[in-house]
Order: sequence, then C-alpha cells, then structure tokens
Amino acid sequence: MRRPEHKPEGGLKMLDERGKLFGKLNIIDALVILLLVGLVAAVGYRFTASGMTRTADARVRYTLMIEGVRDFTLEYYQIGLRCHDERKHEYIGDIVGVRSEPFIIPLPLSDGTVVMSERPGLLRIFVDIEADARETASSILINGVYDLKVGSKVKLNTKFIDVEGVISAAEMIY
Amino acid sequence: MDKPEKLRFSMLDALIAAGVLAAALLAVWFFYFRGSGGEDVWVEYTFEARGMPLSYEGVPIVGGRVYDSVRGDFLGVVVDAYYRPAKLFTEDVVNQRFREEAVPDQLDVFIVIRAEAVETADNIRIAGDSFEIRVGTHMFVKGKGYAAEGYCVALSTSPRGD
Repeated sequence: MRRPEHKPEGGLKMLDERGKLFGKLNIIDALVILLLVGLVAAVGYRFTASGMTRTADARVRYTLMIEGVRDFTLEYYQIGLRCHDERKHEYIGDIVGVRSEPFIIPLPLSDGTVVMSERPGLLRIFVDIEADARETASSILINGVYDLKVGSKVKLNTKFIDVEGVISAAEMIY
Repeated sequence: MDKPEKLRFSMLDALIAAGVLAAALLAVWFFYFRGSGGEDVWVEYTFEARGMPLSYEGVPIVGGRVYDSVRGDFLGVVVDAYYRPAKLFTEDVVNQRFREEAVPDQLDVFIVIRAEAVETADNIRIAGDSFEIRVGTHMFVKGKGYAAEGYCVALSTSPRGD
C-alpha cells in the first residue's frame, strides 16, 4: 500500500527544513547562481557601454585648463598624445592643441585692495582634446561612459604627464 | 564489496566550475598579461624634493639604488644628484608682485634616476611594470640613508637594445 506523501502544513514553504528553496533548489546553489548572473550582467553592461563608441556619430572638442604649471614642463604637453582620466580609468581622447599664458592671479594688498600679478615660473596651460562622443538629451558621453561636463575636474594622464585640470570649454563637432 | 559510488555532475556544478575557471583565467591575465606589450627602453627621470635640510647634500650617491618607500618597488639607480637653495613664492605687497625668494638653510634636491622601463602609447612603466612614471607623479622614495617625498619633474627615454 502506498503511503501518503508528507506535505508541510500550510502548503509549500519557501525554505524547507533541509534548506531548499520551494523544496527544489539548495539555498547555497541559488546564491551561487545569483552571483554568476550578477557577474555576467556586470561584464555585459561594461562591454556594451564601452561599445557605444562604435556607434558614436559625433566628435567633441574640449579644453582642459591646467593652472600653476611649472614652465619647464610645457614641453611634455604634446599634440597627438592619448589622454586618460586617472580617477575613472577611462580613455578621454587625444591632444589636438596646446596653448599657454602667464599665470596671473589676484594679489591682495595691505590696504584691502587686490591687483592681478604674475607668478614667475608658472604657466596656465590650455590643452585641447578631441574624442568620439555621443550626445544625449542630458549628457555628452565620451567612450560611451565618460560624462563630459564643463567645470568638472580631470586628473589627466598622458604618457608623459600626470596633472589635474578643469574642463573649461566643450563643443560638439560633427 | 560495494562498488564506489559513481561521480555525478549537475548543471550547477558545471556552472560553478566554469565560473571558477573564468575567475582563475582573469586573475592570470590581470597579474601577468595586463598592460603587457610595448617597447623596452631606459627611462631617466628627475625626482625633486623641496625644502630639505642642508645635511641632505651628498647623501644620495651616484650608483645608489632607489626604492618606493611605500610599496618597496625598485625605482632605479641614481645617476646624478644636484642641489640649489630652496625657493619660495612670496607676496611683495609694496611693489604689488609675487617674488621667488631663496629660503635660508633649506635645499631643493634633484635626484636623477635611471631605470629599465616599458614604453607604450599610454604610459612608461618601471619597477617590473608596476609603477607608471610621469612628469607630475607624486613619489615617496628612499635610498641608503635618506628618504624623501616629492614629484617627478622631468623624464626622457632611450632605446635599451639588450
């Protein structure tokens, strides 16, 4: 005679006494599957987002202003060098132009007034950078993921230089 | 005698094995192949430490080995060291200008270091690929009898050819 199957009271429990979800899947197995799915999703997102440059239909030219640069380092700012943002580990374009001017800043005087005066030995450098970009309603994306904003700070790395600057201008060039 | 139980692999076991294998391959790539490639060169760079005591003069000797004082990476060998009175920007409010003035009893120290490097379009790597050197890189260095904090202020590369 067949014995009746034992069923938990109140129907199927989410987690039974053997640690199985709905009586079928081990909770540890379920966690491993979730972790793997999460990893695959993260990798997929990263590569899909980076791949947006392939569909970029525009280019952006922007200017990075770097203040208080010692004059003898100007030679390392060279046209054609590839640029990366050190903090975000993103490629952000190639240098297409370099300009410099004396580093003139406010000097407060003892009577409370302020004059503009040059700091000897230092420069203000403007680095023009071009990159493939995608323009959306709310942002300009370099490399699919790097959100370009005038006023934001960039820790610029090229092969030769490691310096911090501020994006001072940007324009789309089609 | 009982037969040994036959090993069975479920789909989940296969998934876990694939995940572990992928993680291992990723780790191998990360530690051994990431950023590999490039040209073998010599890099000669100048490390500057500002406002050091006068007793620093002559301590970094040519031929001495230089290390990163935080991670211990080998950063190269001293090929030159020179000194100048430390300089400081001051505000000359009478004449309404900034001036660069010498600081008494302090030195600016310049240590020229030569190291084996790998050069790519994006970086110049020393210390077995673990340290990227650039003009402006903030550095903590140590050698025999000295240590200093400062910046790389100049660099150049030449073919290694070995």
